[in-house]
Amino acid sequence: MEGWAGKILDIDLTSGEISSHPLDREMARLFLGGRGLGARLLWDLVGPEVKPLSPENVLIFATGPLTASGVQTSNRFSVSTKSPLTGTILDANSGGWWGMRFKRTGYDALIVRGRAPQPSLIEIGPEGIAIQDAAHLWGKTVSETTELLGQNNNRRNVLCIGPAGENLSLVSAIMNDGHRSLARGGPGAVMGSKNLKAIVTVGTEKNQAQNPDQFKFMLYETGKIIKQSPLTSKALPQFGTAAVMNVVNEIGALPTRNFQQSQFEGAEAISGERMTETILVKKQACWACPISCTRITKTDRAEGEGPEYESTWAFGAQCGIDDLPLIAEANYLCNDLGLDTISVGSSIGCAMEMADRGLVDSELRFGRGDLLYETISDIAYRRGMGAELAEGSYRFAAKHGAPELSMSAKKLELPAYDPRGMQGQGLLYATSNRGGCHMRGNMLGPEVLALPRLVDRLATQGKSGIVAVHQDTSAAVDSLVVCKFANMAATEEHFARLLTALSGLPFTAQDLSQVGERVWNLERLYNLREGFTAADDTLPERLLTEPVSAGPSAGFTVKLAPMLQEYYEFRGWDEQGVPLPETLKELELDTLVS
Amino acid sequence: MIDQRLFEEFRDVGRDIYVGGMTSSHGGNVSVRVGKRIIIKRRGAQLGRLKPSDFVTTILNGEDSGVTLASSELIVHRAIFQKTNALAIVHCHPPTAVALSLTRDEIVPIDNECSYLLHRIPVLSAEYSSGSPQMAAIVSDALREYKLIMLRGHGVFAIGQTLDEALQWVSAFEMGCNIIYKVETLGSKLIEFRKHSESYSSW
Amino acid sequence: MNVIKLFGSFRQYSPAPVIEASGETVGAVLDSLCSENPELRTAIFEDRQLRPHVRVMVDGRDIELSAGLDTPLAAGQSIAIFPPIAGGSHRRWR
Repeated sequence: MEGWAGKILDIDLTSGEISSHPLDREMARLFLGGRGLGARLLWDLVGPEVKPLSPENVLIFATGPLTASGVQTSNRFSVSTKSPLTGTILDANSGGWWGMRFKRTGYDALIVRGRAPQPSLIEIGPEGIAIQDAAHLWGKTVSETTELLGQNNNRRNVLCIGPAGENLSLVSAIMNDGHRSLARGGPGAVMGSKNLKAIVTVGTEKNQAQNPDQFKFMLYETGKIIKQSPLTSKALPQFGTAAVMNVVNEIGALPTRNFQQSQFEGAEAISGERMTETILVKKQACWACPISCTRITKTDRAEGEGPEYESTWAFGAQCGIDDLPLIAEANYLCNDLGLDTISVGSSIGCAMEMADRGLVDSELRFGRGDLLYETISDIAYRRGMGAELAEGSYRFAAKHGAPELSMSAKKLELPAYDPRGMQGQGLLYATSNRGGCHMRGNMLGPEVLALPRLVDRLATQGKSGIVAVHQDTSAAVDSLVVCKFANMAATEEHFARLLTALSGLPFTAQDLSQVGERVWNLERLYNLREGFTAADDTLPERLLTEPVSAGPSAGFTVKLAPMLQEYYEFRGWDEQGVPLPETLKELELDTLVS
Repeated sequence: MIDQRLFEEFRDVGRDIYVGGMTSSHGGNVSVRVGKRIIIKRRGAQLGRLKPSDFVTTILNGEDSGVTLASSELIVHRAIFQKTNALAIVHCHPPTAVALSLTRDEIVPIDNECSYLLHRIPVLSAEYSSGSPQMAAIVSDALREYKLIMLRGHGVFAIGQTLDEALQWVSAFEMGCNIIYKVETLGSKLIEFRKHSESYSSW
Repeated sequence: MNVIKLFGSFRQYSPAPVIEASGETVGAVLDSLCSENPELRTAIFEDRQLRPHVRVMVDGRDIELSAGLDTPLAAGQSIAIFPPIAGGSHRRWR
């Protein structure tokens, strides 16, 4: 079964039992791996009665059939769990080396159950699989832990949580290879709740393609298209993801000061262009990636990875701060403490507005970069108001009587695009299965970058189909698993043919899209089972009722209702957003719901 | 019903197809999917001269008033929208492509642009041509694997997220077919310039 | 007078990222901008058309949604020109 390793590793931290079972081939065909496989396993393992931070919740680390195959960007893996921040199904995915190394231990996925009696770590390698004591690592930062465990990209890769995860912060990340993160939705807290500090992988097994000649040809074609695309061959290597800062600002969709404005006067100062001119030391790539979007940066006080566009926005425009070195340092700190930069930056921005309005007693104000470092530490260590912000902006704002000031959807903080200036992005945020998120089919492509074609960002008619198609594609890409950026150049056509050459199983481009649609619908079913309804497919009141006051998106709110209706129709769901029986049958999901 | 921007896209794409010599005055068809509905050119309307009144809206599956007014190939468009994630379809009769389809079972472009974009285009045969269920089935099945397919002696179907995207596949394809035709007419030995060109037939 | 903002790699062809120029249409303004700057012209234009992937906006509105290079300009409107950092359809042949 080339492509898949064919085995799932299952570790119960409560009992210390370690077992392995075969990967269900039919499940692999229907859900591939990564996010899809994770969702399917989670459907069986974690029902609505399970609280996210209880031992009954599980963490599923999953690779896909393309992971570690050598296909461009085939370094990625995902973690699936029930989110403590949103209560929804969650998957977060990451690049680097760890996922490739794990796959090469001979497993497709790792299920972690229960709760270890004391701080522990798991080591998976050629000498066997062991649960070890990690008391000496508890309390250590991500960089300390990663170094102490002997991180080495040539052989041994480390995944761990930082203090934020240990302290069960709902905005905490799981980190791998030191700087890469599985960040959104608080998976770090789930790992912390299991007393699991780290997972070390030492993998050496390689997979062969079923059809090596065809595989080689497809690798060549895929590489060619990544080299031809200006995005993957020029913009991302040259300016990193922050290349889009000035574009998003120019169209009036850069959320500023907790989404009170949609353009930031300091955008240029925090742009990708400025980063390249000032703090950039060098660029770096994940394993098997020709793109190199990672920034290695240096300020007067520190050095590290990033910041990405979203992080730069979160500590920049969202907080009214235009000091790029300071933003980079905030990003390093989040990485080291194991925090989600988007949720942390957005929550701080929310607190700034609340303080401005006298709703909380705090020195925080927009533009107060001097308080950033300390506030982030407070969140990780749950000190002072940081303890409240560690719960994310929704719980923080609600506690102080103003939940509408949390710029979140399903309690997940929205990323760096104001949907009033990108209507489709609004629909995307509202319907995203893990909450407000741009990694579920970013509409930046069609609404701004003309990828694959330009559509009017302020129009609503026909947007539902484009959003749904992009959501499905992203779900398929997350299940293969490859990088979203590779998918901005190479399409499902390429990946289907790569998968076919690798596995010997016939996959068409539309088969992949259908896997994506299946995953999307299963995630929807999961959330419905958790009690979510159509009423949760919404956005913060500000975005629905307060028109943008100035700039190119002036006068616009998100016209969500008509798009949402068209979206449910497109998806084959009823008016309450519940998948119709015929939709589930077509997607071979009907047997899951009786 | 059909907003101005969408109409303009229909009009521009229709005009490009006709002016580009890729269909006869009354041939060809274009459609887009919106929610669970299809907006499609009305039966008999001319692709090169589309007006806002030239469109009908019908549901993806089932009978409604739009069905009788729509193009005779509605059945094919419906099957494609149901079996693929296409949001737009372009169907027309580009002459060089039609000519080549009468002489081979697959068209493998030999020029840089078309081979980069399409690699290989299968040629399908349907016993009854326009608008038969058999044709709808084979065309929609093939479009699960290819973004453009050729129906022997008839024309192309191309899919995209927008009409403009589908048009690009058609336009590149007809150009690629023109080049094949010219090279074959020259009758000289082809000097290959692409790496792995021998593998294009396996796309 | 119109303000023209250059972004990304286009800045290497210009002494300043923000320049002033005027004209009746976007095309006319860009033409005058490039008249003494052949490198910039090559970067922006190909056969008098915008190069594929180059995105031009007038007050934040992509000109592809207006009249392209014929989009009329009023005094005071700003033009932003993004290199393929932004536009980037692989599917559009170049």
